[in-house]
Amino acid sequence: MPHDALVIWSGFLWTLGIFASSMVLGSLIGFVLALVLHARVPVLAQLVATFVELFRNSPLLVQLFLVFYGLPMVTSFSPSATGAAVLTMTVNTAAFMVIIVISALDAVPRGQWQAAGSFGMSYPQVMWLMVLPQAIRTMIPPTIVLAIGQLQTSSLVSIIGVDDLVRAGTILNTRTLRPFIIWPVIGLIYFIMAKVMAHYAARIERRVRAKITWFAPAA
Amino acid sequence: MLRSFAALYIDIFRNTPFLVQLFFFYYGLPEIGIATNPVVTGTIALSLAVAAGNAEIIRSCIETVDASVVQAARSFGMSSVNVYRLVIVPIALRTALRPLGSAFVNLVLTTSVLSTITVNDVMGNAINVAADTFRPFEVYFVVLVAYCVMTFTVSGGVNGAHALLYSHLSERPHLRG
Repeated sequence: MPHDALVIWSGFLWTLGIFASSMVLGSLIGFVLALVLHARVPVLAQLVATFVELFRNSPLLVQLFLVFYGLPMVTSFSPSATGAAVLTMTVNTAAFMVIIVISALDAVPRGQWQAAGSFGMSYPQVMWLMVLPQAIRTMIPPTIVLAIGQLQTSSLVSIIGVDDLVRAGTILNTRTLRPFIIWPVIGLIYFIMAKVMAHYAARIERRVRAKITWFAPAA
Repeated sequence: MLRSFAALYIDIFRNTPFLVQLFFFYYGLPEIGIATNPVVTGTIALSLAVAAGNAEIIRSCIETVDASVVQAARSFGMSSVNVYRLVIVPIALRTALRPLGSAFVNLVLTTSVLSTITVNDVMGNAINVAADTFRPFEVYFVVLVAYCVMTFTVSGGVNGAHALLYSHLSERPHLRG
């Protein structure tokens, strides 16, 4: 029994590590790619658009298999299971993040762009001084929703062979043959993680909401 | 009491990974005596998981129906059932079409996970083909593009349905002088 708890604990740490690193890296890369797309850099913007459409409309499982089994056959780059998992989840998160950032940038009213243009501000100036501060506030709630979704889909990396929480469940299932208890326990751990993130998301959203309204919020 | 059961069901199935739910049904159902082939088990698990997501979408669309429309319907003396049947549900379902469409796209992509319980869908067969031909990169890349094509078809269908349903609201250009 205590050994089972150790297996689950180790799986939990791996899941947390992979999810956290891929979420942070993916958000940053997605943000940069979205800026490239928004600025319409000549060749890169089309590449980013193709990349986003490709990775947004395909299942994570196919992407994982492509990176882990496919890349070593055509290139000399053969990552370990964990490396392939983090890489694929980063790329997947980045693709979804580009959509979020672009819609947040488009949510800034057009009139501000026109006013800035009439002042003679250049594109980088407008972005840095006017648009990004507003867009980042708009971006935060959808990013947290994306994080909760990516936590659920990160369970797929166990199929590649990463020793995460679902793999711990499979090991325990094979050894003790009590799936009716094990899988609800694993699900409960994911459930608690998702609820904790949702709780912090609500707090952050309340604080963001308080900063952009001119009256004191009711709660 | 029925409401709290529904809320609990939606909460559980939305906040746990689909793979864990799938393994629970695949390994757990035979333990209580229901032994079926993987396709049926996978369909059951997928249906339950997607039902929770769709319930959340439709609930939020029902709640955002304009209150003035509902008050107008009630002031005509329509019974509650009639108000629901003739006013709320049509408006809510029309609003829900786009989010349900994207949930449907998600469903098509999630069916690839069924390959882990030996269902021979696109992904399952792709794994077999890649093992047979020793060309995983080509096979998985083609499967990637195939899923994109499926997704575009589905969202094209949803756009067409949306245009069809909202055709009574399309604006004609105003011609002046």
